[in-house]
Amino acid sequence: MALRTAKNPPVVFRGAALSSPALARRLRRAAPALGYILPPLVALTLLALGWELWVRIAGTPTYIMPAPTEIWARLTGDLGFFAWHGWVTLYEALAGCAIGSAVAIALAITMAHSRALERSIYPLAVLVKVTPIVAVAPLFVIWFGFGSWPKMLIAALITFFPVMVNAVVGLRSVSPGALDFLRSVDASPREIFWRLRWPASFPYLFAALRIVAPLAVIGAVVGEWFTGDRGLGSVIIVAHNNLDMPTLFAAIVTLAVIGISLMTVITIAERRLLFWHESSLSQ
Amino acid sequence: MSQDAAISVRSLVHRYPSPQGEVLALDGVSLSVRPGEFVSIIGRSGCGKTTLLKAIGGLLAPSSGDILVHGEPPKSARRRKQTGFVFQDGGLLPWRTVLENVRLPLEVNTGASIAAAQDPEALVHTVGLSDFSRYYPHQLSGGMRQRVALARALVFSPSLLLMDEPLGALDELTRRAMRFELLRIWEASRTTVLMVTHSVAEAVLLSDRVLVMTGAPGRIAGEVTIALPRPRPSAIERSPEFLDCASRVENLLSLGGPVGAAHR
Repeated sequence: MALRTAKNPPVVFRGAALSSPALARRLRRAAPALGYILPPLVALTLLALGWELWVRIAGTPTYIMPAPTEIWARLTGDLGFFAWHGWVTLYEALAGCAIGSAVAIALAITMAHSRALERSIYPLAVLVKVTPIVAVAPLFVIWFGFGSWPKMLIAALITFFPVMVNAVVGLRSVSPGALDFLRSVDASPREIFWRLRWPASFPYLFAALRIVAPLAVIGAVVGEWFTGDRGLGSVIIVAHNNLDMPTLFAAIVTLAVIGISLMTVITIAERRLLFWHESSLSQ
Repeated sequence: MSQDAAISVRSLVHRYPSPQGEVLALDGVSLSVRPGEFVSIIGRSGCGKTTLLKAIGGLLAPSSGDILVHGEPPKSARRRKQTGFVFQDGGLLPWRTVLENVRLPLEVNTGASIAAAQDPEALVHTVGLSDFSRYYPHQLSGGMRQRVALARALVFSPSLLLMDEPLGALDELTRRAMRFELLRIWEASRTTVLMVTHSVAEAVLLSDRVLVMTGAPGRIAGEVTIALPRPRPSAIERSPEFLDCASRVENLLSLGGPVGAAHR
């Protein structure tokens, strides 16, 4: 605005004085976001450019390595297809993540209150953790059929352990002073849980969620490999069998978009909910 | 043992188990506090001060001995909201604002019969934080946080206030300023106070009487009556009477052996 009316200095001056704080505020708010987004965007563009050039100059056949433009054409040419399969995978991952977290938190609550229960449940949880998920997946198909259930349960199984471990630590990580104070005013164990332990565990639960959300997507995709007639995992398997690399890569790009979206949502939720925690104070 | 004493403790003994065997934390502690009196307990770390305070607050059942708070067992005095607590780390909930933290005691255990609850907003004003009532603890200094903890302890207008090193986590400069702040707030309410502290200057400035504890096992080595006039201005710290009281407390403390010997 100041530039456009630069021929009339007094007006400009007044106009600039009026609008500049708002403008400066908007710029200041936008600048850091731009600072975060721009460098990786530049890196990604350069990578795609290098890839495109390399494939074209070397004449690599599409069935081995498609050019980024081919992948892009496949993705945008059939966006509904990828969106629908992506939605199936996302839904399975989220449902699995919710089931796994719910069970993990419920167990963590009992374990945080009883060391004996912790000692009996923990080894079983470790057993679940160390068993490779790919080994269990075919079994789940036999038990739970070809629908969404085996995929959701595989995602739940992957989710379970990190959430449980963090929840136990989180529920115990209360300030001794706050605990003493609540006891001094005769707060019931239930009140101590809801007013102190539960909110105190949020930073730990969010840390777990950051680890677990991408893992749940992996779980859903692995499940779809074994049974799939829908979901990005099955799209990948079918494309692979047909040597249809553009479709395979487009499915991978869709998975990457899902992963980034999940992380973004978690980060935003974390900033809103954990404004009081050290981890968000430095930001 | 007098029925009208605010606190009356007789031959209190407390043992607790540890991996190295049973530890005698308190060995025959007796004391008495009059209503309206400000009494400090001073002693080295691990001498059983906190254990004693928790027993008087009814948060810990001693192995043997009698405690009466205003003529009743400590637990029932606490249940009737006659006892207020301030802990060293404040114990504020970081996700609640100043006002919400002060209001917390009113929100829990609402079934209990409450005689006199004070207006949280007025209490926040009393401790000088009116402008900060919507702030979160992480936005406050350590001294301000302890003022919130103090306001929270006063919500039920307790007849006894127990403070466990209320200024212990603060830096020296804040600590000095907070001493006088505490003095000002207490002189307005004149409730009975039992305070545990590490600092001789703090004990002498605030108290009517200082009890000196020695550790392992915890005993009361002696007491010093602080006959300084009230209200006490900041200049009092340099008066000969103040220094005399402080040196008498120091002397009693050094009878407990060299530094470190009293540690667990």
